[in-house]
Amino acid sequence: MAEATRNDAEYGEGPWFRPSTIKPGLAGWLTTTNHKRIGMLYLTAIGSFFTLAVILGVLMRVELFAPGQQIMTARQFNAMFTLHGILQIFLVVIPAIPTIFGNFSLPTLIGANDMAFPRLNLFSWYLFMTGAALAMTAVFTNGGAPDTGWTFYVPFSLKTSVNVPMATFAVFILGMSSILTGVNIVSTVHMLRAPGMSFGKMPLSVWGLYSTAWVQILATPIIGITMLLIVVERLFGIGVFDPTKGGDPLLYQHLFWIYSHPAVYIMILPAMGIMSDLFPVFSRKNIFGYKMIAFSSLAIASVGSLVWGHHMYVNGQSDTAGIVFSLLTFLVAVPSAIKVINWLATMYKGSIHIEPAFLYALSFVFLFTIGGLTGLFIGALAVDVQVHDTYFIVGHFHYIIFGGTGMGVFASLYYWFPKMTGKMVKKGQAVVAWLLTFVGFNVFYFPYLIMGWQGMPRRYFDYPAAFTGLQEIASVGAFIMVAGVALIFWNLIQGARRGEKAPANPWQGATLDWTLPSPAPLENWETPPIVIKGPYDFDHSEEGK
Amino acid sequence: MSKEARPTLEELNACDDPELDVHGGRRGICHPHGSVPLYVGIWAFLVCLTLLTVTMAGWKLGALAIVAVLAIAATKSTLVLLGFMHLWWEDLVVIRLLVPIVLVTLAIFIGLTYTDILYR
Amino acid sequence: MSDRPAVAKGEAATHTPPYNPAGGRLGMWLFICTEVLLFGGLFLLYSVYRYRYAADFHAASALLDRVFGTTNTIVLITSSLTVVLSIFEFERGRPSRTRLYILFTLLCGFAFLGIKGFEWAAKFEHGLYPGAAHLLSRPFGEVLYFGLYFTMTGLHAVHVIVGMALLFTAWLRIGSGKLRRMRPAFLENAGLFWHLVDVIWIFLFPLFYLIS
Repeated sequence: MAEATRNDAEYGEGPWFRPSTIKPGLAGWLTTTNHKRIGMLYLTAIGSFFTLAVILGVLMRVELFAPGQQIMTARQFNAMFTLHGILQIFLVVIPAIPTIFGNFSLPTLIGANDMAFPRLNLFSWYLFMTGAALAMTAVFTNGGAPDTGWTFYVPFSLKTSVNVPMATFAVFILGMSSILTGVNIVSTVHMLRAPGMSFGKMPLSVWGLYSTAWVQILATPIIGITMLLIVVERLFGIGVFDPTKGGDPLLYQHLFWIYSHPAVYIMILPAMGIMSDLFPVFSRKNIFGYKMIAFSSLAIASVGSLVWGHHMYVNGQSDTAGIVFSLLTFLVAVPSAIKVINWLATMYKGSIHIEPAFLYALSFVFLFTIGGLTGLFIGALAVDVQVHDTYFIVGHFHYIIFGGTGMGVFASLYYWFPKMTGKMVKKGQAVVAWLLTFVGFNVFYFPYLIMGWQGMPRRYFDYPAAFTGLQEIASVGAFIMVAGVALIFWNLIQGARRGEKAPANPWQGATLDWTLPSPAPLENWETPPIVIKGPYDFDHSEEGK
Repeated sequence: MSKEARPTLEELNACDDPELDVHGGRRGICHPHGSVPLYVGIWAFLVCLTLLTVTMAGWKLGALAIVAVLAIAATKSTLVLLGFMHLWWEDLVVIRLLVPIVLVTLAIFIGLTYTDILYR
Repeated sequence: MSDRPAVAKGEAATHTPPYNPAGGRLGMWLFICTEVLLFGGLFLLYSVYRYRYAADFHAASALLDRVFGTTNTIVLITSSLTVVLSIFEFERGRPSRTRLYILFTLLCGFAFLGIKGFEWAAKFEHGLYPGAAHLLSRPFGEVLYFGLYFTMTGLHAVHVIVGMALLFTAWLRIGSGKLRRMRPAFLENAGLFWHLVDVIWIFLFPLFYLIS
């Protein structure tokens, strides 16, 4: 009976990406409610926005190669870093893991056939695309691209004649999409786990996605109202952020960062969760300290929501607030450190297999640790007075976001590649791509830490000649890194088209997703699997072929 | 009681079928929440509290005024949440935890902002 | 595990997800939390500016009509009652009474919006709206008070309209038979949203109308 009610009638047997016979072509994709296909919709969109944002970044590094004007005006430069920020933050890194892997992999990890709300899932994607379209339209209409930085600080964002309202409204729509994804993920984890999978038997990647989803639900509404208030201020002049009417511009910053700091935990937590899946698999050893890692995900989500004032130390907030936020900022480093230590302890005396996915996982640890340590520097009040709004900050967050989540996304793509495509990539090529990316990354961003320390301000179109040497090195590093990333894309796309056929469980993982065939079918299980062992119990798992 | 109101055999069977979760738990259609007198009683209490808070606005309470106002509003909200929104009979633990979670979150957002506001 | 309902027989592997009222209810509650936090940002601003401009807020509050405010509060409370009763009747298999209660709720919604519109119009006439020269000539606290008043009651009114649309959809579906007694989730969730609208007003009312 279950057989007859499968999707065979519309899709036939076969992988999840097999075209529908009822709605062929694009229409089938644009009306799907299947979690894997929606994950693919997000992957395509986010991949495109990432590419665009990287191009903007490259253009900026070309401009900054030497002092003085090279290829763009100062006003254009301002628009570049604003757009680069909006794209990377709201259209790439915040959504990436929850929408791509939260959708594609989460149901397979918990033994479910889909997300809790499949139609809401598709609606989230449409909201996402609407927000993206609005952001793009803002670039070309009503004064053009915002030049305020992605942070839209008042009073400049209220006065500048460019299309701030449309851009901020785009962020509002993107926030709605993120909220609905969070609702879907929390509901899915609560409602659809397979029989026998208690919270204590969930893969840690699920814990990561789950904690993140709570942050998406609780924090995102604040950016929603803040962006709406920018629009309302510009349209009606209510005065809440306008000193000429008694308003307080610093309150804008409070509201903005109340979301935008937790947002960076939305970025990093799911990546950390996936790392917690990868380290056991590639060390063929049970994770060290499952409970502590699960708890640390919740701890990062909660304590991370208490630290937003560290973006505002030198912007006029009280010293008392500075001290409180600084203390909390130091506290939030602890659960992150717990994760790193536990991953390394997992590797100890394990049987290590180096695969491209694991190279990215190791890079994650290395780069995230550097980024995290620089975070401690700037969490300290006195140090931040020196380095606030310098390249040190820019280096810090690129190490954390790109070195962390970015590497995490690449790791996830390589890890689940066989499940998604049914193929294997060319390993040698993948390693070269990784090496170029990793080396280029460090040549690019380490000079940022030095330049920032020496006083190079961020978001500046020009600089004194003394910085030229390091700026050139950074630009060269950027070009190497981008070449590496381009090779990653090539490696993945060619692998999908022409790679060797993949076995069901090439990495010999013990989580439920690896019990499905490669590539995964449209429907996961006819009857939900019964879960007896833990997610990293390798001693009892079937050997992959 | 009209014929329309009595549950049909199919509906009664559904109540016994553990695989057909009609209301997400043991309550709801098979074991109804509340009663009309209860709901009307809650409504009456809400109206009284409203009139009370309006009356108290005329009193000179100084700093206590905002405390009283928020206390009454909180009481009214609690009645709506527990009674009208059925939290009193709610099965799912996660739903019952939502209100405290949201309140704590808001308290933190507002409270930490005040470390700035109060000491500038 | 009380947290997870079993999957309905035979619906495990189809396009349409199995009927999962607990899941839908959880989803609606989570969404309601996000709405509370959306308004929470505005309440944060209100709180700071009331603290800073206490006297101005007091003076401005006197310009609002307490009778209208109190009436609107009682209208919304009553509408919450009728929504609950509509669900009560629906669970007992009386769809006609259900629809009547929903209609009464919608009536209350219209009444609320009507009174609110009247209040707004009165303020516009007196030049007490954001951007008006008269308002801008008044003290900072009063400017901010009215800025927040229109923003918060405006956003609230948008939610009233959305809530009414949801309830109207439920009314239609019950009439057409698409919403059946054994599957009351849509009506219940629409009701939850409506109660949210009520709870927000429970706070808005004293904070704007009853500053003593």
